Amino acid sequence: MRYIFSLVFVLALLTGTAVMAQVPEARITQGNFQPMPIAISNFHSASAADEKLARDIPGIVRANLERSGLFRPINQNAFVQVPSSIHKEGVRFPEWRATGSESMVSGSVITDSQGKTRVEFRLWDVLAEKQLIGTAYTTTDSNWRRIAHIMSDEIYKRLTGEDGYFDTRIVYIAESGPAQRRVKQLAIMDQDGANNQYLTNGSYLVLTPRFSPETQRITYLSYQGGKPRVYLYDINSGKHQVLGSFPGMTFAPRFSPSGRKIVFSMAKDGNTDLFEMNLSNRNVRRLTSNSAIDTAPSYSPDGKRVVFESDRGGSQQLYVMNLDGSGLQRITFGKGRYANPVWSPRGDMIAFTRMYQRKFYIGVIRPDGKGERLVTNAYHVEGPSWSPNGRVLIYFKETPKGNQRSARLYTIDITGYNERWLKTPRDASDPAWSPLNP
Amino acid sequence: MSVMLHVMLAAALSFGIPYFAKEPIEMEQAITVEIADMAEISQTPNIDAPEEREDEIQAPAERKPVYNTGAAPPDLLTPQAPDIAEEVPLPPEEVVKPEERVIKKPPKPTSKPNKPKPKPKILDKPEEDVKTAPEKDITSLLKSLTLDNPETEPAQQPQDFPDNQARTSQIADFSQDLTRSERDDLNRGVQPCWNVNAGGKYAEDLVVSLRVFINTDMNVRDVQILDSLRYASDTHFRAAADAARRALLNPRCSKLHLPPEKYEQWKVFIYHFDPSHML
Repeated sequence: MRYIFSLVFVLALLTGTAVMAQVPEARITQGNFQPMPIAISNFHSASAADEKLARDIPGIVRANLERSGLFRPINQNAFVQVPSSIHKEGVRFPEWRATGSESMVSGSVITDSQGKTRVEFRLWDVLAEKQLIGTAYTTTDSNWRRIAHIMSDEIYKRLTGEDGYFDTRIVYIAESGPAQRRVKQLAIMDQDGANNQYLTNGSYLVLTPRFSPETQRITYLSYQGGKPRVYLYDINSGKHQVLGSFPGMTFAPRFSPSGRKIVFSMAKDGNTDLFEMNLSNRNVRRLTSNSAIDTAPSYSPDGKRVVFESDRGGSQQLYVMNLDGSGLQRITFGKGRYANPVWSPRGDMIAFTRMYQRKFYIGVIRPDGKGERLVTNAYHVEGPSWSPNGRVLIYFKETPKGNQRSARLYTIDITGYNERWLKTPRDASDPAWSPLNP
Repeated sequence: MSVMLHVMLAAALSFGIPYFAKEPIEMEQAITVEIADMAEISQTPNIDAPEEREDEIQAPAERKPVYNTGAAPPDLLTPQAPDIAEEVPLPPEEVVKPEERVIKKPPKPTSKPNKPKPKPKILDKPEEDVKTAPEKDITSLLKSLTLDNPETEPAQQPQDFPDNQARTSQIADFSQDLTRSERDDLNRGVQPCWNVNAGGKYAEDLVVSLRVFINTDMNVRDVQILDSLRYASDTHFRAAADAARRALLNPRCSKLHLPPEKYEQWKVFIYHFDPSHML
């Protein structure tokens, strides 16, 4: 009897559990790949003096997000609720849903008597009717652009999950003059092209600036005095210092992820190999020793490996190697020549320049050599550099213009879409993207 | 069936449990995890902002320019980091819990329950003909030039992302209560509103499972994200989960294409958003 009751109990439990757990399930495997519609309202301002900032700050946010290609700001003409109403009554979600937006940004600007500006903003999920972010910043009036960029980064991260890249700068080579007597100056600007400044006077050749991933320092190659030298420029102090003279060097060094070391190629004893320098003590150690030309190295984001170009296989291809020289692996096998590899800060991709039949391409490939994609091409396109979140590439394209050439900077999303011209006061080449501003 | 099960359960509880209760099972002490609630944090009654931080970042001292270009360039100042105050509380407003949503639409003639539904036109290949290749992944959506057919001019206008057409679900993971065409109909209705971040790192691994509650008119009443721990700790997953939830709450897609006669079985169901097979 006891065993019968036990059996009944077990059967009842199994059956009851199965019935209770039987919630139907479905699976969807196809979605869309479209920019997210987002409504960015002008901010509320308590005084007429703050009205301009209350328009300009969301304007920068709108432009940043739209330029990323991942967002589609809704036209403000479609807005029903005005900023003062949002500030006093809260968000009327049905009206914002009617605009077709999925998210909404609102905020306010207040400047106190001491000239300090407080900017408050909120990000709303219009469909779920809830607040996602609510933050306030205080700074001087002149720093308003940076607030807009930081806000853009916060919104971007909350809605995509990825770090933003708007509070950054780009250093590049500004070019002017005829092709035979080209004037090249080191220049720096915000990632949206604002606040452009020149760091050298153009009296000597400068090339290939590189940003440290951790510190506000730049290396660049300079031919001041007719000799190629590598300079280290500290943005905070404004000081330039010579790292050394490196005969046969054609690219400036790249920083390690910590910013404490640099890797570069140099001709020594009749051969071009890779070297690493410790910036604190200036010790140099050799990384490769091969009869082939090894050049253009770039660190992985964990600092344990490098990718570089080499012709040791008979043609110019890309190789990945541990810093101790072990684990050498060739990762490209395509037609043409591969050059200028740059490892993404995300670690999942390596960007490169490829040349084939007199055309130049920018491409990306996984570190294991799989998934190669060419994202753009031109008469001459070169010098890819990653945004700090590894989502966007910047590079320069040259197009023939009669006897001259015109050089411009472009950005493109890692998917290969959303190519944009980044306007500069003059021709521009050799861009390098900074880390997020501290 | 239900009555029988209840009787059996009652009988089992009456006579069965003592035989299994002889040796108590020792349970490890549960670890309590408190998940911070955004609404709770932001809904403090004090609408005025808390005091500002005292450690205000000062503007760097002026530096002399190193390179004299004739006209002295302005000092290159490191942009000043603005103070970040504490999170701004929400206005003292009650959070409106999701209720039954009645989305007004033009009246439709109600279909008779016993009238057979016309089968939807299948625009794409039938599921049997499509083999899911294991090596295909989300990168197939990504643009790739070929050496043979490159673009001839640099793009002057921003290029739009591709417009994906609705396709039938490629995965044979479905509830036994829905027919294949009903399942495809359900997914086709939601697909236009589900936005996937194709370029995100590990985007193909971000499968989101939601518990969906629907009203009798097939409108979504509430959506719950199942993996709340991961939602709180993984920003990529959180973004993907929010996108999936928005897809179901979007007025364009929140009226689900489910057969009304199956409402009782489907008024609560689990919906998996799986981008790994997007081609």
